[in-house]
Amino acid sequence: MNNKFLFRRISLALLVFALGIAILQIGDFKILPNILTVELQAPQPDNYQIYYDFGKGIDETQSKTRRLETTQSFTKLVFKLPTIGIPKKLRIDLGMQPAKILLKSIRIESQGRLYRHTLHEWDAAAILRDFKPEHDIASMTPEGSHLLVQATGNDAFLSSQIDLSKIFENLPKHNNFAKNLLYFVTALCAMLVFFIESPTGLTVNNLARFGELILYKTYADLRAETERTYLGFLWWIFEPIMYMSVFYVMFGLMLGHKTDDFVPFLLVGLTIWQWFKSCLSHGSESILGAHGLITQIYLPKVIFPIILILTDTVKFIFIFSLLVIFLWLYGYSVTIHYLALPILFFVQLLFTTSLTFILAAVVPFLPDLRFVVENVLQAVFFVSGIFVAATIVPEEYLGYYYLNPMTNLIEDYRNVLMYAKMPDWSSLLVIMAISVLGIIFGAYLIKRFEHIYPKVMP
Amino acid sequence: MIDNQPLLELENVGVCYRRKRGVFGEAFWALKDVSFKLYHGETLGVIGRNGVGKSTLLRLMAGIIKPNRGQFTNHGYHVSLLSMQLGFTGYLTGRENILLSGMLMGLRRHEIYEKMDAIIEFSELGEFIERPIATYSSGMVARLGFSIALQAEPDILLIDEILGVGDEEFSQKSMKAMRERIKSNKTIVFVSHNAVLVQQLCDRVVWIEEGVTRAEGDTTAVLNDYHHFLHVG
Repeated sequence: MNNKFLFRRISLALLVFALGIAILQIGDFKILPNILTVELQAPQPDNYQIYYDFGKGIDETQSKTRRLETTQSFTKLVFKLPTIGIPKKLRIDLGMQPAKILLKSIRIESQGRLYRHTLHEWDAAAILRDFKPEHDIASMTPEGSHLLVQATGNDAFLSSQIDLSKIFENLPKHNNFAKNLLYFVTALCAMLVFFIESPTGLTVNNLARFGELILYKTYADLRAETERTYLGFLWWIFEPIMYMSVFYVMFGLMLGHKTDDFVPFLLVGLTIWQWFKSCLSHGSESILGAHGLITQIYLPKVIFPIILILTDTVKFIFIFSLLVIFLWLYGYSVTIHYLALPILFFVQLLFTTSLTFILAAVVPFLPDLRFVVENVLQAVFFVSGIFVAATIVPEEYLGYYYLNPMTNLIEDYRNVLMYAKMPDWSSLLVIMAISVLGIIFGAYLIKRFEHIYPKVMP
Repeated sequence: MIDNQPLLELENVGVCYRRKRGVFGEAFWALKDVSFKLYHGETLGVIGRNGVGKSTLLRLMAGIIKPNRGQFTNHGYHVSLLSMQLGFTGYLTGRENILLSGMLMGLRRHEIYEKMDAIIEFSELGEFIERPIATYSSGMVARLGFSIALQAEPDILLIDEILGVGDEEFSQKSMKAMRERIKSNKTIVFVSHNAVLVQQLCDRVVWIEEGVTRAEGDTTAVLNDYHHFLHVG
């Protein structure tokens, strides 16, 4: 093999490795308890409350309340803990009325979008050992595998008596699933890059030439589009305004969501989705559509989906600016969390590019796929959390729900733009890593079929 | 003028298409067994009747497609097809189309700027260059297309049939420019079924019949065989 090529391959592989290691450094996530579940059965519905002491002592602001409705069977009451560390002490208030309560277990978990770990679980015997009745409790006696608690007053509670930090001493320090996946993907990327010298046909030598061409063609396509109508580029503003208005009138005015934040909630989702959708549906037809050109001259075919993605991204910038202005008018303000937006854009762009490349590579052979893509996109549209928040999804399906990268991204955009929260970094990293792999795979496919596309009937 | 090192080599090359859509369907061999070499500085004529795979051969040499069998070797040269109106977009002005088309043909942006005046001058479009080409007459589009195509300077230029375009006057002018290009020390492949033009322009000729090389060599000798074949067949 040519030495120059070998050198280039090795340096590319090293670059990908370095990138991977850098990602892994950011991906150093701490696991903290954030879910407390009490499983119990009581003879009447009642309010249950937990208090957590993070060093500030016990008070009402450091507590969560859940209501028990069922009395026939054991019920899990789920309390969300703030993720600021490990609580020093936990206090569990067993309702407001005297009752005989059967306690089955107390569980502490850590849950993110991508993982759910049980950190510690107390069964009946362990509760008896680690928790002590403190007030209005006559007795705590084991009964079978449960613990019978006799609450006598309206303020019955028990408290943890041990040093909780001891229990959590050996916490898994990292998000292992995400980390392993990243290692895996990094290794795969490095291998792929090593074996396919330039997966796109764009090499160091011709990058300047084709880069220039990509940018100018994008500009030309946008120009041609504005020339096609009377109002020109104003349509990039009017069209989304009209599109958004339809939803505003439908949901905001007719279905009575005028006061809550449903309209901004919806518009964020729709805007982000629109970018993804237009890139995908335009980009997937790009190589097929360039048939006239590619039969006349050799061009690396990968530039066609890139041009379409860039075109749609420019239009998205207009739409997104409008969205942000709308949010400001609606009463939301700029926060420090806006700094996360470029990262969100970047990750979404990578994800979109990966799917677009793969589709663009296959569609010339199977043009019928376009209709399938349209319909699949429509289906995914409804499960990407554009209309609903993740809170309505049952706990046990949440893991599947977040398998959809668009769900994650849309929720992250909402966190940043509406709720002044940072995105979920770990899921972003996984999306990014998978997308990089997808891009390399897609580019490889395009490169592989590069000389076959001109032979295929358009 | 002709040295011994070939730029392009074709050895028993075959190219097949599928008759139906996609990758499936019955194979159809546009080229079956083509062999010849292209040397530096020569003008090679490729002659044959319509539908014997000349366009496929050009695409193959330009690196657009690859052979399904046989060996095609390009010893590192930039080969491109003389294509008129490449990537022309109706809503863009003449000037913008010059840039876009030039870039598609492999020119760099600054190179096109340098040649811009010469292109506009040659096309005789004047004021019209700032208007969308959708407003041009077909003759004007052809003139612009030719003027840009003339500026492409690949190592090896492939010409398919057409030498001149446009009305009587521009046709003469473009034909003259193209002849000058062919007569210069450039490496050219000229594909045609017009034996008279091939006789005038080419140093050597390859004759292709039904995807197979029938003869290769001296222009007069090959053309004689070709004529004989036509009259007998």
